[in-house]
Amino acid sequence: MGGTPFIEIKNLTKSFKGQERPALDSLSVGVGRGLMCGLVGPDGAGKTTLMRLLLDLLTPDAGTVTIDGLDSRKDADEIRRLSGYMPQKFGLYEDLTVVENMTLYADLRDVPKAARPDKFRELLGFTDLGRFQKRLAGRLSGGMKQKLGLACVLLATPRLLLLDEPSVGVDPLSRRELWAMVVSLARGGMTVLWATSYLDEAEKCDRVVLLHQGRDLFHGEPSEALGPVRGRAYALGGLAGAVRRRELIKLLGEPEVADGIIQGGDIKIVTREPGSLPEVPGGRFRPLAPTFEDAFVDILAGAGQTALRGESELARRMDDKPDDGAVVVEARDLTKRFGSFTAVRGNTFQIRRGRIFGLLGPNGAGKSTTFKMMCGLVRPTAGTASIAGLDLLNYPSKARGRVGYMAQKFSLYDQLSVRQNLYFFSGAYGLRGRAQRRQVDLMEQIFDLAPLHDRGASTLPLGFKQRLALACAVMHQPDVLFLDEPTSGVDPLTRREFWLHINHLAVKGVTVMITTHFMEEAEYCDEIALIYRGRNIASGSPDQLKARAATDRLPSPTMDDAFIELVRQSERAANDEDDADAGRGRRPGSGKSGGPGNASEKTDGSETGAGPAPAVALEKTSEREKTVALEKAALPEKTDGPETLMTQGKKEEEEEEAAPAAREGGKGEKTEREKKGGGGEK
Amino acid sequence: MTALLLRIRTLIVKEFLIILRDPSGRAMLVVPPIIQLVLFAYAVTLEVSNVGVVVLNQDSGRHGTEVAARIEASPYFLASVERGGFQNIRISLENQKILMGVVIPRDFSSRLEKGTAAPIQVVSDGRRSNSAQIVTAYLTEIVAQYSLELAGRLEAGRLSARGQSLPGQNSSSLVHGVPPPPPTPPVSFSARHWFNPNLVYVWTIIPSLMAIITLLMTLNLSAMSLAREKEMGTFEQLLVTPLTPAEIIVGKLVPAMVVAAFESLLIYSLGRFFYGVPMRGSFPLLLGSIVLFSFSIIGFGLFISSIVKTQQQAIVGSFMFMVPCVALSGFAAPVENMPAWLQQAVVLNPLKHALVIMKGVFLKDMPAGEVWLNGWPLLVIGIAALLFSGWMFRKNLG
Repeated sequence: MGGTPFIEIKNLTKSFKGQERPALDSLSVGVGRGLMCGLVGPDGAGKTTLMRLLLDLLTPDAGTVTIDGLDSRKDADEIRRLSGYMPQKFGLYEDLTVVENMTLYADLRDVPKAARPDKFRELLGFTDLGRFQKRLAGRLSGGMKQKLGLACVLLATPRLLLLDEPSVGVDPLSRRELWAMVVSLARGGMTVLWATSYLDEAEKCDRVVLLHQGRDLFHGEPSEALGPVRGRAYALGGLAGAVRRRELIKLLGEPEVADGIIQGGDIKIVTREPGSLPEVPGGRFRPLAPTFEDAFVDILAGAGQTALRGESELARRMDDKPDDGAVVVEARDLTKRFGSFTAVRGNTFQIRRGRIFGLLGPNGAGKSTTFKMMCGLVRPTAGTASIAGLDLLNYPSKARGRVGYMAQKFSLYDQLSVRQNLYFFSGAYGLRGRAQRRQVDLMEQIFDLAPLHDRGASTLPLGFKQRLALACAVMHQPDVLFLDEPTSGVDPLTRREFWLHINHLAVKGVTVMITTHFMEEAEYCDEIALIYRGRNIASGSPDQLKARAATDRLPSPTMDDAFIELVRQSERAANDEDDADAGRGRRPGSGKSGGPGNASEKTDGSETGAGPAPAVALEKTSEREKTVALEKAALPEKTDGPETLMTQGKKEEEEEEAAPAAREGGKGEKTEREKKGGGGEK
Repeated sequence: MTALLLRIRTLIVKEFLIILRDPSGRAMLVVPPIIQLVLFAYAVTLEVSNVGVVVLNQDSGRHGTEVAARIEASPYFLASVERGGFQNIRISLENQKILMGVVIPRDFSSRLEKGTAAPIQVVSDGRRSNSAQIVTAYLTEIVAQYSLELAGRLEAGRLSARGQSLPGQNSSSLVHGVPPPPPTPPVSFSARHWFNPNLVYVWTIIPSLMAIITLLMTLNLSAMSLAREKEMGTFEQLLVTPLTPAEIIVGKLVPAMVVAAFESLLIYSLGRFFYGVPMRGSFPLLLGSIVLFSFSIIGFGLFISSIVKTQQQAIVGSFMFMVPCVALSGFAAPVENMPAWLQQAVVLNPLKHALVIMKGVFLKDMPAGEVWLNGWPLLVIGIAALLFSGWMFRKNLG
């Protein structure tokens, strides 16, 4: 190892026309060979721009990049040959099968014909796609597509692997599998650049480059970043639902507190100085290990950027809802069938006024379908969904009038200005005249949108889009707020600001239902329903779910761990059930839906057997062991039953995707649409 | 009720803001129709004034020369007189240099003098049968005129020129004979083309274009509008508001109808004041019918929009609708020439009805009653299409 790192970036700057600040602002950083380097930052931080600059897909305004001694401008071809790049939307051909896609990429990368059988076998085993070789790529689930993408990139045996947000839209289970694969590659000597907006992933990297608005806020080992916040993170426990929200609002007004969020039943705070805690009568603080997110917020605070604190002006100006504890949202035996395939079966839950309720679940488990039924976007096959006592089937318009909705993707009118959007949505919810004008003015004032009100919504910075979307959802003073992954990809300050409003709104009596992949968001919930295979497999407060998932090996699981453990427990129960069914003469492992997709999967499975564990290189260093142990927890145990968790998990994903296809008999366009309505979640 | 109207008003205002917000959107409403109008009116002409005709005069007598000269002097096509062999005509026809060859045989004059039938042979290019028909009609008129004059001059002379067909020169040729002129006593016939006395081609095409360009513009607008909302995710955002599917449809329908009225007015004023096409009928009736027509088209557009997911699919969908719609409308090929079953099927084509009305009102002051007779199918088609899209809406909801 010489003095120069594998990747050396010096003063790299890139601006795009029409943007106020550079996408990348004089970045200087080095990454050593064989390291797993996290490129961390919210959307728009400059992660993709950096990757494209490394491969000379963009021309820098200034600065240089050297990769393994090669200059990115002069030796671009050479660099591209030694690196594998998986962009956010990897170009898989959806109409080709898994193997055909791999063959295509092998041709593109000039992989010799003789080497292919071994290479293919190795990669199919590695990515655990062996059983799906003949499946069309378009029929794979989100997680499997990413694995196939990775397999295609690895065909040319790159020395540098660039992965642009590979974990977006992938549920925690598949995310861990993907992570384990890439870690094992880095251990084998490959240098990996993993871009992500999930800050928890940063902690597990060897090196981290934290980007925010094109600037390098931190680079180095993750533990270094945690240094300044060590001894400043505390948890205040033992507070009931709404009390902890009020307490957080109060704490965020205290001078000692730098940052605070809700984490299950606890309030987590970061103090300004180690050890100096605010006075909370009867409250006991216990110290916590800081997270990378705490560090991020701290760094931002050091740069003069702080989140909104104290009370939410929005909530303060909203009318109080009666504090009656009434059931506001109710699902009774909610069932949705698409042909012979059941996406949601017998889902029942109630949400009382002022509570925050979360729907969690892997991709295609039916949580999105449940959510859509509650919004009136999908009509249930059986059962009822009601809002404030109004059945969505009988009073769709009236019931929807009581709901505010915020989609995952920004989905306001790009072509309209901020103010036009506000006027349109308030009008759609029946506001008019002076009341409408007052609400629009109020929103512009609260969210600092007034100076921007003539700007087209598409040109707003991400944080402001988020504000505008929230404003459009609450102007009509809804009883219920439906939020679909509301803060994925935004920076922690924007997320804090958002949750400040939501928390305070809940205190005012607004009921909130949220669906999310994002464990930080799940922690804010009073109650969570974990949806798997269309069923509500576990519900309770985040702490209850974590307690249920605690094992000897993992006594205090995170929300992520709990999610994976509970899915696994449900698997085990299902397998036992199936075994019992088999005793009574039914086909084992036929699942509950038993669609044609399932049958074909069975034959696939018998070809290669079910032994899917990807190679995870175990190294005996202390830091690493912890990581590997975590990953091991996610991996199947071979003694689990007739099929392992991972095969089961995949099978499930597959069923959701395959069943509508079988129903439609290959009418591609229709299948696509139904899949969207049915289960294919983002 | 007022709440309903206000919600719909909100939708309509939004729609107009989106259509008119940026300069390129505004330009899209004005520039393409004008370009289309100019292209259609000048380029897609059905006139034959530039069509080549060769007269092969093998007759040395005065009658042959006279007839050849008259054909050459005709303003309706470009004719030239040649002597020599037939080979020339054959080659020119094959190369599409000319549309038609006219052969005046050697004994033409002598036969006329003798008072026997004197045939003229006409060989035309069957690949361009429409133009050939038109030119043949002109030729027939010229020859008939001449024989009438001749009959008048030689009172007793029972001259007649009789057309006769010869077999075609090649597989692609059709041969049109010149039909015999009316027998003596000579009856002078003079054609009068009502409603368009000088057969100015632009007169007949502008009213048709009013309907066709309105079709192109509004079909695209309505087919794209919902598809765009689906792509952007705003469609779901709309569906979770208290707005009902019916309100959303009306909110899309009304702005598109206003745009249709605007487009047709644009074409109307250009046709009226730039091309000088006279307007014979009632203007409110014309405008009313174009709005009715746009209603049916937007119904189709929204139907396309309701079954597609992306704007791309919407473009393909509207194209698939548009091409047969124009081809089977009677714009280029008369509906009367279609096979019987197709004639029945085109009842479903809104443009077919619209063309009858537009030409009727524009050029011959079609009365309201007759407009209604041709217009009610538009209403039925529009309502059916809208019901279908509303149904698809609901189906999409699960």
